Amino acid sequence: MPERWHNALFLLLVLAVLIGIGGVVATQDRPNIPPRAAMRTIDPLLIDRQLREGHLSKHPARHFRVLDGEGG
Amino acid sequence: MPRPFAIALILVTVAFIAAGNLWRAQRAATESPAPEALLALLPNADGIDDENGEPPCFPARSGKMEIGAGLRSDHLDPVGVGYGGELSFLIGLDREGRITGVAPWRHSETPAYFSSLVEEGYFNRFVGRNLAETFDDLDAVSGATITSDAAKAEILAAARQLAATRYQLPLPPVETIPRWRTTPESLAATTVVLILALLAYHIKRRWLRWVSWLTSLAVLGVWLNQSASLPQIAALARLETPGGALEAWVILSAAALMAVARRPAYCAQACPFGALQEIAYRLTPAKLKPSPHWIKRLRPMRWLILAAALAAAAGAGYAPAASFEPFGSLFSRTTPATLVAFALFILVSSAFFRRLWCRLFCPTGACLDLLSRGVSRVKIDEPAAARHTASHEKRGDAHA
Repeated sequence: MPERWHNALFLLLVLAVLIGIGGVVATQDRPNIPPRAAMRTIDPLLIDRQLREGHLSKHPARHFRVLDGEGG
Repeated sequence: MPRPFAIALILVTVAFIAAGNLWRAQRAATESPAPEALLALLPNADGIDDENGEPPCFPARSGKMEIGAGLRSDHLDPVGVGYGGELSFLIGLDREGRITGVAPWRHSETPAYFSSLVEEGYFNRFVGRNLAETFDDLDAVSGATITSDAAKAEILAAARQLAATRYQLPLPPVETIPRWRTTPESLAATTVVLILALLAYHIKRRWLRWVSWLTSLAVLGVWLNQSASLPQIAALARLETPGGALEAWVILSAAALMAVARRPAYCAQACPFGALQEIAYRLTPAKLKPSPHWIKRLRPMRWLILAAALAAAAGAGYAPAASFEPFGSLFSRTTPATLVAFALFILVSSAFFRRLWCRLFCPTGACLDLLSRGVSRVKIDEPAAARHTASHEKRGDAHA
């Protein structure tokens, strides 16, 4: 392979690494996710809406099976 | 790089870092969290007072009654030291000693590691729990153990200090964690790797070099995942007291000493990523042979990358700017996919061009090189100055 091809490939490699450095720095710059607010008052309207939209089960007990030796 | 340009680059970087440190110190003394941020941590409160009392806190009210308080952990006795220095949190607390919310306030940890804590919901695990509990079940996040342990110690110590003092709650004593964490085995293994690197560098036997590379890869890479790195250098430039994994600082100190002694055995033998690149190159028959002219022209990039990264990370306080080195990403389970892909790309490229990262990009290597050149400049200039003085004395020059 002629030297100019080696040079061209080398320069492409260098360019790719420089872009990679920029990309890594940019993707690491993520904002911290805000913490979940604790002890929030139960919002019955929100629960009603989630039930209507099918996000919550009307019968949560059906989704659990009592294991041997538990319950009562 | 022309000498005047190099000196100007160093001076500008140092000035930028110094200005950044002054600005951060001034901001830390005056800046206060927004009331909304504190109210988000105290959901039953409808108002928050200014910081007051001893220890200082932000009393939270519901109507006229104080129902708890928000606090900045850095305004109480600090105990949590992570990789990048001290960690600080905003904490919400009710009068019964229950934690009602936790949010990061200040930290200089590697963003990828700190983000893994946030994404794993680590801080939410404190919420709703009473400070009288032991919190022994609150395990560290895998891959970010030191940061998690430091965060836990800082949050519990600050909250317990306030709850015990302000609300007179009987609580367990404040737990402190040592500033340095290590085990005798890992410290001994690190020492062995560094000694082996020095031996391999001096004796120059091929088999010994391979033993040194493989040992470094196994111990510093796979087992400990520690190496000299830019976040450590940035932490020093921010004038932060080091802490965390002792091995990492032993490695950095040893690398600096080797550089000062003009024996760069760390880069040549002990750096696990250097070892990986070297092994990849030696096992690949096809080579990329660019003109030496281009290599020489592009070498100063390392200085520019080092200067830009330090100015941004230590001067402007932009931590991600110091967190692009690919060393640890191949050995950690919590590294973002982008950094792993970047490290693999460099490794594959290094199979065709020897030590691509070390020779053209590595800012840690550039810093060690700078240390080495600085010392050599002193050593070279002294005899030159002495010769100059002697020649003037010989001629009877009074100004010599």
